[in-house]
Amino acid sequence: MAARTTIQGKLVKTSLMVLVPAFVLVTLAVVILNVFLGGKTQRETVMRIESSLKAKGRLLTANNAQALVGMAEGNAFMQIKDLVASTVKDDIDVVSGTFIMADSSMPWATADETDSVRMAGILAKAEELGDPAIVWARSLEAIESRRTVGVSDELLEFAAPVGDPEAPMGWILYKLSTATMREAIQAAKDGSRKGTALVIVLLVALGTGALLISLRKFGSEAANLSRPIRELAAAAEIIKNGDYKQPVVVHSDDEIGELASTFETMRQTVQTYTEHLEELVEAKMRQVRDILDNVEQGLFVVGFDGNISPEHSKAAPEILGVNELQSIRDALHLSPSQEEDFVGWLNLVRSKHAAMRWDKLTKVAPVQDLEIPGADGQTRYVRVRYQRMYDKNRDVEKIMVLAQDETEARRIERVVAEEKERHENEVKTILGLVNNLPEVIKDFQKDARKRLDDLTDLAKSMLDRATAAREKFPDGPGFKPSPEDIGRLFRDLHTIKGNAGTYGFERLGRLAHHSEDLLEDLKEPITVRTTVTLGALAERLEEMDAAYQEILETEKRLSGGGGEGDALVQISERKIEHVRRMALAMHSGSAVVADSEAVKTLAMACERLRDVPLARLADKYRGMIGRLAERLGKQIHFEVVPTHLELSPHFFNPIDEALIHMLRNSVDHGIESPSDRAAKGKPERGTIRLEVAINDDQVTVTLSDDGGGINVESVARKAVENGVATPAEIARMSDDEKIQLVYEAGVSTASSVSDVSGRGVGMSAVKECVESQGGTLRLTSVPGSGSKTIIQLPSRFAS
Amino acid sequence: MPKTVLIVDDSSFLSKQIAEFFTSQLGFQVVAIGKDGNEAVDLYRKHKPDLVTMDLTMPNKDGKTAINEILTEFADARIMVISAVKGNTVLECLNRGAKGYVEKPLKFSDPLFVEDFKQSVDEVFN
Repeated sequence: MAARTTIQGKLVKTSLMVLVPAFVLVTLAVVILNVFLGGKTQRETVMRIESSLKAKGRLLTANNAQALVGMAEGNAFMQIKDLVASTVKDDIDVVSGTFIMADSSMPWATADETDSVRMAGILAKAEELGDPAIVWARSLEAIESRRTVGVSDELLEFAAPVGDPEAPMGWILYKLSTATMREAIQAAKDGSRKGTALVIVLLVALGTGALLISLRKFGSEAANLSRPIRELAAAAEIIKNGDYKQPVVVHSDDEIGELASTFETMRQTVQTYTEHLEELVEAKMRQVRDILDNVEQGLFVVGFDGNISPEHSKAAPEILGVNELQSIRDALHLSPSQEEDFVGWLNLVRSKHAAMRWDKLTKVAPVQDLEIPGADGQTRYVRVRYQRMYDKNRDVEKIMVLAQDETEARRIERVVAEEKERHENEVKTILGLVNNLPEVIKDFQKDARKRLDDLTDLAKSMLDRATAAREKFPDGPGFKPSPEDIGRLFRDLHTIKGNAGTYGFERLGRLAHHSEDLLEDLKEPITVRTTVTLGALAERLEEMDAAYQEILETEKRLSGGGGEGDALVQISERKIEHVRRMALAMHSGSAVVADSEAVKTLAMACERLRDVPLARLADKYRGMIGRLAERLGKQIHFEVVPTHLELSPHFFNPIDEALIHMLRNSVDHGIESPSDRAAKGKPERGTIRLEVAINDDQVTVTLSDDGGGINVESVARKAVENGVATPAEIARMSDDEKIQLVYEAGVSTASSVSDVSGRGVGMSAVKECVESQGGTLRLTSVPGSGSKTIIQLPSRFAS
Repeated sequence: MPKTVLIVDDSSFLSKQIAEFFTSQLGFQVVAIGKDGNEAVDLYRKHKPDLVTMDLTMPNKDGKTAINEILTEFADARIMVISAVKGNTVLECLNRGAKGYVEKPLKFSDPLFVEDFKQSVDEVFN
């Protein structure tokens, strides 16, 4: 924080800026005045001292000149000498004095302080005194004075004639030293300078003192002034830090006090609002917590940093099988690499949530389902889903993770599926039993029973051998089943599977298929312990046995053993025919019969008694297709529509040969191998459909398959090769017309000839057969999707 | 000018279906069809298409590697994954810079699938 100037500092600084220049100005003024005034006073003092010295000299000389008149008249030389000497001696300023007699022959008296001989005064001859002042003195007629420069000093010389100025008796001459005077002047000057200095010193001292005192006073006043502001600032700091509860107390009666009281009001308002808000937030939080505590889903929130928010539903830890939701790793049971993936996903969501649909983003989340081992050893299934949580700008801020325990739902689903499968299986089993001739079913059952027994025996013996080998060589190479045994197992299972599929015994077929899968584990390289595989196989065979028993039981129920529904009885066709003929005879012969229409109806009813459902009638074709398909390694579903249409047992007889031909063709050339079908994106199992429709005027038998269809060009080429049509004729034909060429002798639909069909004679025979019955037939084909033959027969066919 | 697309899939059967869809339903111009990752990178360099659809499981060079190579060379490339691969590979491709994905099987007869496919392409261009 930058150093902050205080208010106190500012006040002191400002006052110093005013006071210091003011003080300096006053001092300067005083000094200047002092110097000017001092100079003037000094000059006056010098003049006063000079004039007083001059006055003294003049007075002294005048007095002496007066006094000396008598003495000179009396020639009292000694007296003169004493007077002069005492004058020199008494007055410190008088340096020397000389009385000059007008008569040069008379002795002159002189006294001189600077001369030791003449100090006390002597009388001397005029010529002995070679003083130039004497010449000046002798010329005077009145008292005069002048300035001369003495040996060491400036002198004032005073001289006056003694006696009559016209004829003086002599002249008195005094020389006064100016030394005293100059000393006095100097003293006066010094005094003046000292005074000035004193004034300055006093002023500085006073000024400094005043400054110091005022500074002190200012400082404390400024401190007094800024203290409330500091208090206010401290209070503001507390509020800034979020504590609205400390009252703002500032002791000040000025504007700051007013500001503080406004501030306090503001604080109270803010406190009220804050407390209100806190209450609101707390209430909302309580509601959220209530929801979280009662929601049955596992619900928690994770940020893009992978951290889990503290709020989560009460059920979350329990559903996820953890004690606490501390990290995403614990919560979702992530391995370190999964955790890395999850963080990668969070990053993807952060960068792509605006660009990609949410369901697409959540689909690539590394965790979708969890399997959590429960305390009771039961695995719990938890479904994990993700939802967006937005911030106030509608940006995705966090992700809500929803975990739902689906164990119960899955259990129910499984039970329902099992139930449904059981029912479907039963229905299919019943259909299989009903739609196939009892002999065929018996054959199947016999075959399946034998194979199941063989399989069980072989599997058991292999398991025994494997167990023995394992006991003998616990760490040894173990038992390796022979390829022959595996081959036997595989063949039997495959046959059961194929047959069961043909007759619609789905459960048995599926179990056989699973068993086949198990056999893969017996092949090299063996990765699963042989005993384990064989044990599993034995279990599977038991299940197959159970499925087989189910078929038998269903059959028993159907044939009346269960006692429900219509009891089935078998009546020979001959007996029915007998009843019918009797009825007809009654109708045509005797008049005894009252209601001949009723007899006619009875006859017709007898006829219908022998009718069987289409499904049952088509059984022989179903068997044929099943056997053929198995031999060719194809999977074919034979569909009969409508299954319950009742028809004469001889319905198909006239066109039986044609149907067998066409069905063989469909199995052999129409339906592709399972692998070819898979490659084309078709179901592996092909469908052949036999449909019978009876109208008033005609009977239509439609045979269709979803195989590869017929190659039109190939048919046309064969027709040309075999001389059935000329290239010119072919060129004029439509595709539809070209296809019909397959019915011409020598044209085959297949490119290869097999032992089943394909020699090109069959279809012409088919056509011949149908036409001999007064019917027509028409072949259509869609390449890749299959072909369809529509046979139309006269209505008598239905009777 | 129609947008251009490069289709990469080791199944020519599926490539044709995808190409047909882009041409007839989305009005794209199919500039090339690649059968593996190597072809994908070469064809991208050659055509610089507006969009690449990338299968992941392919011989010689897989889709993930091809995506990485294309994006290293062309940071702005728009790549959409079309794959049946489950697990984190799709996530890794998206994090590397692929802009969307569509799951196989390609059920072009299912309106929901078609809608998802179209939206995924839209998202790639947004």
